[in-house]
Amino acid sequence: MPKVSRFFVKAALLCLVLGGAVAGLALSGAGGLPPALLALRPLAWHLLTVGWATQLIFGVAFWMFPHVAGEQPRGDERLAWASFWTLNGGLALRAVGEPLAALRPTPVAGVLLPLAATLQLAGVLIFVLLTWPRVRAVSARH
Amino acid sequence: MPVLARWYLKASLFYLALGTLLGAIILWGKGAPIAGAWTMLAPHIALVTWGWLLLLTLGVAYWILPRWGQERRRVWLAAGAYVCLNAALWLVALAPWLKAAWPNAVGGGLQALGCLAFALHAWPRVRKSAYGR
Repeated sequence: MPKVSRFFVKAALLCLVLGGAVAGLALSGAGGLPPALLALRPLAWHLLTVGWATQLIFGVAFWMFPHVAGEQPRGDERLAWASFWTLNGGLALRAVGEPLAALRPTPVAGVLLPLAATLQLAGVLIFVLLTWPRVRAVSARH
Repeated sequence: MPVLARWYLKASLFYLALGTLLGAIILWGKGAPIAGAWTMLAPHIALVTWGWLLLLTLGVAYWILPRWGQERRRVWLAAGAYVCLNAALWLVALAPWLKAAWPNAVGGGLQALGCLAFALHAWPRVRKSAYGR
């Protein structure tokens, strides 16, 4: 398993634990939750769908999808690292900025959230571009 | 990787990019308001769940579940599921702009049909592989 895949999968597991805990707090009580917990709901969903499921898929796909011909059979690994850091940087900024914006709108959130959105989008687009040519008939290894 | 699996996986990557773009607009709008950003919430959710996660898992399942030699059998069910799920996704994703109830109703029906078709395709493939493992 390449190093960047291990980073993706271990970060996914951390997000699973964190997202599960936040979801347990913020999603379990239907109506009577305090505003501070309600503000965590979008974060809980995104830790589980982006941080856990999507990131786990990224790690396993980079590891196991068919190889391409050439010196870099999995594609440019620097792009995979760029995807890893931008995606997780975006998630981290969102984890701070989103509850902050929901509870007490500040100018800081006006900077953090657009930045978080841009980083997450960049992480996804980089990964899509990296993976697209590997969705192919035959692995170059065989 | 067979042709149909490649169609599933490339569609799922496309929907991931599109769904994340809509999600990024919504998140951006929470910090610096963008008019109409919240209209994209339902399409965002549909694209990243039904489009990305579901199509990816179905594509990989179609690819790697045990076969009969080189044969996957009843491929038309998996192909029908692909058509139904993609048509449903576009109906549901465009529903907020079509301003009518029927796209969600038809889309929901097509999603259910697509899931049933894929389950019928995959069910007999969940078995011992040719190698006995």
